[in-house]
Amino acid sequence: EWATWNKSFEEASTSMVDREEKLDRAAELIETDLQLVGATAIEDKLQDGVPELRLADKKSLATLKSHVTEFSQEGLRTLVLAKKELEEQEWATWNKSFEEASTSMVDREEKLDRAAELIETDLQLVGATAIEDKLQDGVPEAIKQLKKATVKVWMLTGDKLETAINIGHSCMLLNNDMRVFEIGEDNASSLSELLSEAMQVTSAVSSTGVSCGIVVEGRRLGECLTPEHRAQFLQVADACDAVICCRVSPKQKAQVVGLVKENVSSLTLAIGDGANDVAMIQEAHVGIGISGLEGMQAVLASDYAIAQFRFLEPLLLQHGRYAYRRMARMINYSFHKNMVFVLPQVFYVIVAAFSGQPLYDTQSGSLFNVLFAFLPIAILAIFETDLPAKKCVEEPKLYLPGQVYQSFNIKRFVWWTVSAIFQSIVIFALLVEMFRMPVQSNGDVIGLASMGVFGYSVAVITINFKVAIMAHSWNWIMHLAVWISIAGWFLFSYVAQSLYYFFPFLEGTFDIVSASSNYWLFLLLVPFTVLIPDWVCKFAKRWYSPELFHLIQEESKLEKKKNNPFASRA
Amino acid sequence: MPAGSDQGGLRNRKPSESAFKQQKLPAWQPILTPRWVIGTFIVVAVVFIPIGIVILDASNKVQEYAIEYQDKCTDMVNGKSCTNNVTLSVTKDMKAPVYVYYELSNFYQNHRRYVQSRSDEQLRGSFGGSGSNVVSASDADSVIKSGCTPSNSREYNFNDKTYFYYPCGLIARSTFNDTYIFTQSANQQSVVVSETGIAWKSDIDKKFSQKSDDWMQNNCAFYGHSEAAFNQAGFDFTWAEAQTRAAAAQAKGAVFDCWRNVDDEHFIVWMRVAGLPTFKKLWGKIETDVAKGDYTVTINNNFPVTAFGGTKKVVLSTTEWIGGKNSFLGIAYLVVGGICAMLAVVFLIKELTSPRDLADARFMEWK
Repeated sequence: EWATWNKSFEEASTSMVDREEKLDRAAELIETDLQLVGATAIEDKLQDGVPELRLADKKSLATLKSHVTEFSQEGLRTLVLAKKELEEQEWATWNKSFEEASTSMVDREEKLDRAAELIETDLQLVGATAIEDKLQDGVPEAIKQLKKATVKVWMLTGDKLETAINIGHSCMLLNNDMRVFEIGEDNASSLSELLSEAMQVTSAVSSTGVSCGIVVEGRRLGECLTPEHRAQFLQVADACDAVICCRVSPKQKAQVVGLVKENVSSLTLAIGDGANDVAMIQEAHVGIGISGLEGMQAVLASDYAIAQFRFLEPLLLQHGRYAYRRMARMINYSFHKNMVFVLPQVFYVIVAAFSGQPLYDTQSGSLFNVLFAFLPIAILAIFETDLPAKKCVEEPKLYLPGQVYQSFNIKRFVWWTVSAIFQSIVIFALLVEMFRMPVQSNGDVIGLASMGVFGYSVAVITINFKVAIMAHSWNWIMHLAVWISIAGWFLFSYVAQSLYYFFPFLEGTFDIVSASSNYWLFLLLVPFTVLIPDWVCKFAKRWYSPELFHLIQEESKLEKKKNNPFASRA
Repeated sequence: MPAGSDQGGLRNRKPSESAFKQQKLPAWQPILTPRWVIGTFIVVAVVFIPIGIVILDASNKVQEYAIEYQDKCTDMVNGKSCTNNVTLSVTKDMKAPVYVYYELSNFYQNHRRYVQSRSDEQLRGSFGGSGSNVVSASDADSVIKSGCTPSNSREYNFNDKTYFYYPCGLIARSTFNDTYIFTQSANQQSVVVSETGIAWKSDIDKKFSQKSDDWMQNNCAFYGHSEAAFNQAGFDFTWAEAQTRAAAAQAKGAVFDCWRNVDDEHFIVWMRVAGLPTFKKLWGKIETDVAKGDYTVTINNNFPVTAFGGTKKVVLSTTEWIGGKNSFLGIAYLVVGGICAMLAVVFLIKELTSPRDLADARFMEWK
């Protein structure tokens, strides 16, 4: 019966035409008159080696093994099915002990194992199945791009060694030019021997440009994670271009991620789509769940959820890159603008008898960050695209600066701070010199309140111009933000001078100050003066020692000009 | 099948394609090339240098004459009032209006506790009710307590009763009270100096308002304690009249010492605290031309400065459209304009001698 059916099944699976339908029909043929065998708890569908100990008929074992190996070498996921007929009485007795085991408080795992062992004897082989777990679209390309972006890609799977290697090849994690080390479960040599051998080979071939890969199977992986072998394993893994761990349990997946997290100073990202990936997703720095056919557990446990694996590429290279740059610049700028605003007030105590008299009106001072210094940087942090999205993805090397903390590190922060101190010194000095002559054209004299208005105005304009210098993509929202913030300050001053209940200090100041030619001349002079170094540095960096993204910006510009020769702007 | 595709009634979860949501808004994306940098620096230089020249020119046209006088009178040096004369030599005709300032140094009107020591409510006149109301001691105290500290700038004890200063506070109580009379040395002809129109219009109109006459008659127990000081306080009745009013008010239980008229412009000018420890304040306006020659300034020296090592100056000054004499702004514009011009030249030379193109191949080694 089985042989006949198997023949038609094999025909169907190898046919060129209507393969799916033929397979379906073949399956339908055999799926009749099924006898209930009983409930089986297939805990480890991975361990298809176990039943071989329990089969009644040992002869078909060899054939089984060769078939299963064939399947897995084609990259299929294999499953071996065996059955056993039980009398009602037998099953009831066993089921009772099984239920006891499953509800026990103590040693549940062991009790379940023993119960399983009791029933899993003298099994009759039914057959073996092989399922093709199709790779999603675009996976090889995505992995290729990520590797170009100097992201190390490791594959952790529950499949057999041969299946894993096959999948590794089809998703371009491994290729035929690579030297691949296999540390399988049936390899008897000691782990340290294997690892040191691998280490020797990797160092030997590294100079010749040949890359290496390593494949470790479940139980041996457990050995690798132990303290004795850990360091060596990481060393080899680091030297390899691709690392594949197969027959990995969910717990081991998390352990591997944990190993990297604790011993390597890199960020880890785990991406998976099933419930068995949840532990790993939660362990990694960034956990990504793929929503889809295997349910929502991975998605619910993740930091980010995407719909297909290939979306990982734009997620990192485009959105990740943008987010990093925007965030870093926003943080640096936020400290900077507050320093430029506050430091002149700090310096002011020098000429105010160190009494702590504020330079600006305190009520309006608290509105600085809320009204006048907020919009432009917020818009920059949301919208700034220094490169078109296409370029970010096409050129993965652009991802590198983020990996080495280039946009936000101590040196950068100190530089921004020094710049802020310089700017506030200039603002303060110019302000004090200006007010040595507080006489206006109509003879009126302006005092402390006006000095505060001068200083505040200059601060608002300067820090908004600073954002203007920082910004690369000027869309209409950015324009609005900058000009509104500056205009808003003048509007506010005009209104506040009459609201003496809220701003008693400012009463009447704006009318006097705005009628003073000194005020407007001061406003014209100071922001430009203060920002000259910024302007020069920005230019010098781009023109004389450009970063990769500078060059790609220029490249994009040239391309745009070529496509549209009538566009203006150099 | 990709998630979210429209399959017969299934909800389409694809995000909208709008330019805003996909961050594809059209944007100007400038690249900072030498053309930009050189251009902007040249523009700034071309704008700033002429402005600087114009400002300097105006500042040089301003005529200013000053005399330091706190050491000219021995009584003053010892902290007592005195009257003395100083001579001011005007070397060129001054066109009207000519402004008279006093300049103090080392006087920190911008000290935090000094700046806070005032009661804006009191100065506005929005306290103590209307005309016939007699303000009790507790009410007076509550109104001004928060502003006018320390207490000796707010109240004092006299005959076992507490009286409150109106106006109160350190700023008010330290009002500058020197006076100046200008005469031409040659022919003793006096120069008319107007002492009104010297404070900010908004201050005169809104910020400072003396209580009504009715109110004062009910609440002003004293008008200061010295005739000399009263004569400068800016009231339009005599000391004798003041005493009569005060006595009547005292009978009603008045608690205020109305030692200064809040509407007096000298007072208002003083109350606008200066930003730096050396400052000028407007004292008067001369609406006629001031001819070349010597002028005798008769100074009523009341304000003590030697105790804190300060100086007093009387200043005669014209103004231009940029205000008084200050070469700072003009020089600053010239310097900045010059720096920009220099930077433009530097970058121009660098670009001409070793130019690079956009996306220059030399840097593209990463390819």
